[in-house]
Amino acid sequence: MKQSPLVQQLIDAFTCLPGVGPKSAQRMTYYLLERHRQGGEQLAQALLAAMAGVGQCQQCRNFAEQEVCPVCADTRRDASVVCVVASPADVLAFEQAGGYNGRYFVLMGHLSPIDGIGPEEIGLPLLQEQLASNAITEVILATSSTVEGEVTAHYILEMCQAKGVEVSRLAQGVPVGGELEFVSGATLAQALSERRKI
Amino acid sequence: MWKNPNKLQLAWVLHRRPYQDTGLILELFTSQHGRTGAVMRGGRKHQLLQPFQPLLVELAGHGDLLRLQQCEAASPPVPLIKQQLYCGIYLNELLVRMLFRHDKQPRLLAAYADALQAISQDAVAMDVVLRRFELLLLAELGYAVEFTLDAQAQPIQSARRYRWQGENGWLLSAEGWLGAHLLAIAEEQWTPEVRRCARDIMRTILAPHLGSKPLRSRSLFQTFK
Repeated sequence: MKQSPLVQQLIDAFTCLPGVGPKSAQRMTYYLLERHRQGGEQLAQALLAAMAGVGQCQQCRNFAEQEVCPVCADTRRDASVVCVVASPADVLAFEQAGGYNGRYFVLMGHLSPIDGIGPEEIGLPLLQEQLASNAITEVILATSSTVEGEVTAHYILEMCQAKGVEVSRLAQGVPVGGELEFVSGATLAQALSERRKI
Repeated sequence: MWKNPNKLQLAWVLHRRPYQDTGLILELFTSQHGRTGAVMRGGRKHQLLQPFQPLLVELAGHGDLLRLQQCEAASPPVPLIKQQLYCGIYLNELLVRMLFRHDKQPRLLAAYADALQAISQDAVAMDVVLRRFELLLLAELGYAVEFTLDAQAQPIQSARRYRWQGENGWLLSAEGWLGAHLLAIAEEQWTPEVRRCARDIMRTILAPHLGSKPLRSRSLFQTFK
């Protein structure tokens, strides 16, 4: 049976979501049409508003509705310390963990030459500009501990060293509340080689 | 427990990208299948599935995209740091772009492991390791480069200049590279000048094999001022 054009259009539109295939899209469409029209309208309005209204912060590249995001605009925060993270979700994780009072720089990905993602694609020219303006005294590298993350971290490290900016990297080792027995060999080796005097 | 220990094979991850929520689509360089694609559900939780980590894997299915059933470490990962990582990434990109799928390349697989080790040990200059690997890669794919004879099968003369022409070989040319440098590459006499020259030569020779898109990893090697 052929769907009516508008229904089919909605089903096709839902498949743009990650993990949603034609079957799930169809289920979502029928659910909204049959039982939750009001929710569907809210979803449509929220989507439209977000797509039109959300851009990128001109300082940290995080999603923002104004030119500068609330974190960068907050004058109580230390603008000279910048924590480099891969995604907006990482910013949220740091904010929820608390204890950090500097700014962020969101790469929106990692360096991955095979995928065609080079320094420009992750906004490093903007970071370069900020380093050149001498407003930054410390950069904290908080990319993930994968090969792509390491490559990205090293690339940014070279950038910072050329400008004489202090760089630090998140500590790597045994997770808080973790039992040694279940920690992976590589993590344990790293934790041992970077042990700290107390 | 291994489902079928006979099917174990050595594999290196050349590239990984996310698939659905927690899965991975991998580009592997394996002993039995050569370069192949493989998918693993829940693979992102697997800390082992990283480039430069020798793996023992069991692959199932057929076609371009196999299923990675199980994997474990064959030996500890090659500890690449700093600039060495760029070299490793460059080798991976080169293999992904140059190798045909399901073309067994046992010598190349061994050479790849050796090259990564050599880069991590820092005993030989990194660019020399890359040049040797590039030459072996071309030779194994059937495009061996001869540095001692020109296109007419005459010996390369050290005082004359040559340019590279893909199908024929070295042709005399006033604008080209010095014959002495070509001979030095053949004899592996890596002075700084020869190394610079070899880099440019290999770039020219590899270009037609890579198509219109240049290798992106090269952009990592820039220096900052």
